[in-house]
Amino acid sequence: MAIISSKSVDDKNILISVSDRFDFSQYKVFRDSYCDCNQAGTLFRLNLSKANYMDSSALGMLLLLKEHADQIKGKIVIENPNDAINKVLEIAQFQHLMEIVR
Amino acid sequence: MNDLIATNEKTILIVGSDPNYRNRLAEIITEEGFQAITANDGMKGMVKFYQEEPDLVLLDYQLEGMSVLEACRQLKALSSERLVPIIIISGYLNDEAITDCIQAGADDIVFKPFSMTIFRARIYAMFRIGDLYQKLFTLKNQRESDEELAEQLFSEVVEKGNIAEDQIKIFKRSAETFSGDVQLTALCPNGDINVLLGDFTGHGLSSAIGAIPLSDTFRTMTDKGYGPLDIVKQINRKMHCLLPTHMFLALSMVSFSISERVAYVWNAGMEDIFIFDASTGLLKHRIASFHPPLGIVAHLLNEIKPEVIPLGEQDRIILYSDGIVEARNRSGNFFGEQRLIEATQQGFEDGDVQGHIIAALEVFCEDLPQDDDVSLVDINCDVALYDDLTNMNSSEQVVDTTDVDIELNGETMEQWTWQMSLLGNKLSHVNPVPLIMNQLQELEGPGDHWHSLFTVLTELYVNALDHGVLKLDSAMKNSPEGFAQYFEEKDLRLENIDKNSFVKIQLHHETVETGGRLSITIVDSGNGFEFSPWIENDLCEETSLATNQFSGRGIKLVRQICKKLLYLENGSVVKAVFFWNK
Repeated sequence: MAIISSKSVDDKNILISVSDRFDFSQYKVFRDSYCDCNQAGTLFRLNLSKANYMDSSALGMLLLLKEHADQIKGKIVIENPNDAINKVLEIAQFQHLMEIVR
Repeated sequence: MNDLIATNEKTILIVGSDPNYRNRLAEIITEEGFQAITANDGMKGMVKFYQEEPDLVLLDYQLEGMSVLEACRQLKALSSERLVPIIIISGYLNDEAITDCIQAGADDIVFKPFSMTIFRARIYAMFRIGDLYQKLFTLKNQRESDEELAEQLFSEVVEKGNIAEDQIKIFKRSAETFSGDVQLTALCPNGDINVLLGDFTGHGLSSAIGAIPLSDTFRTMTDKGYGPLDIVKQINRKMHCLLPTHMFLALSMVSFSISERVAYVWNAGMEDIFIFDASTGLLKHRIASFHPPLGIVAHLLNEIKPEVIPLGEQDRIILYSDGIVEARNRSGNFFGEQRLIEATQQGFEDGDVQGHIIAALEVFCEDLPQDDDVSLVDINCDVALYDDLTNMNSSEQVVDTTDVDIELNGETMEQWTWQMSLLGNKLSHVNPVPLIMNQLQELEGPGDHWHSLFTVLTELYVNALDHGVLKLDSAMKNSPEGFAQYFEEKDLRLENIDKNSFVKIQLHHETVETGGRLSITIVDSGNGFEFSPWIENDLCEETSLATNQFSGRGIKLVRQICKKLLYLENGSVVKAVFFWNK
């Protein structure tokens, strides 16, 4: 499976790992990975170290995650995007919207 | 089952050389309530098929005149626009023969001897599939014609208003009928030109929804004389309200100032914008995205301003969508930036930039289908090419003023006065000129004559603000580098503006028989400024302007347009009189 998510014991730390292609075909499973996490202040870590491609619909999916996180006063950190994905994030200037850790 | 299908409308063609076989089948079919037609060999079958357009064909495997496989192929070729099922009736057949029949186009095979009940059921099943196919086909046609119609309407609304097609070359190829890419050009009242390339998330109909409000906002605000920052702000606000969370608009916008010979460049989520010197092929500037795409955040990020780039006559600005650089070839490689730059440079050599890029792209991708919309905008920055567009208004106006002067002795019919004061940091946030233009058009109706008034008001207001209130020295603008510095300094001083600063604008309008006489008075809180060199400049020959090409044009322009221009109080008060004809 291209998207794997895991929760910490207190449900306030969600790790979502995406591998291979991050695009609209992952929409449902990506959404399922976070939509039940409604604990205030949840930290959503999105690990992209195994992803090798991301398109603009994936940026849209990040915005949906951000909307969800904002609603519960949570936070998003994007971790380890490769060069190609980082370029996409850079063109979209997403560092203004969420934390990106290389 | 019968009530699902209107049997009496269905016709079945029976082809076979044995008359007993034909008659027996025809009997069964007629009993079921269908129309039966018959043919005794393959050729006659074809003719009947063509003439009678049956809904189903029963084909005897032992056919005369042509092979059953050939018959299947020809029948399918004759009915490419609808599904006419073919049922082959045969004795024993081996697996290979059955496969051949299906491959040739047969939809079903019934083996002799068969029970009447099963035979009937098979016919009904075939009709059911045929009907579904027909529905699908109708829907597909309907969708295609809807899309075509919508695209027609769409390009009428979105792209019809584009200007300067010879100077600003636009290329677009959509991945689907509807494009997620939008290319717009529009003329500002002062002769500047706004160019926009937008790329909505995804493509197809859903991504094109925002295009009409986008073009509306862009055109209306450009027409009213709003600056590029205000336009981008408003587009962002609109898109934020309109687009669902996961959708956005990547946008590059160039506001090309003909009089200042600079470009104000915005890049919100697009590929790098290129500025080349076409005479040498040198890539002079590259403006990377500096803001997230529009429609994501409710307000633009504060600290971000457009880049100001001074332009030479040979310069070309190239905007493009990611569909070009992300086009792939068979090995999965991207077309990429470097190939684009090289193709552009080759294009400068023989004057066909677009042709070279498209050719390079096609050679690279061979015959692979296009994944994404491809857009390319090539802006020629030679201001002389835009004379026709920009002179139209000012030359008209020169005639106007002389004509009206004679009529001035006519009776004054009605008059009004309107004024506005901007204080302190309102000066850094509000551009009063579009507001005034709106008021004027409310009061006196729309018309082309207001275009030159827009120039007058802008020049006078900007002088009052820059040189009066902010005490900026226009000598800074004498070099292209200084020009950019000037604007940085202006932003800085606006941020720290004294709260007692003000600019007051008063308009007094008198209606005369042929139109109107508008007196403009602008007072600012500054100590006045050196305006005399500009006025003198105006009296000298054109050559004196060449040495000072980045400043002083404004006043000269105002003097051309207005009957009267008077600076008082050392320059902190200016009065101008503008005439217009109905």
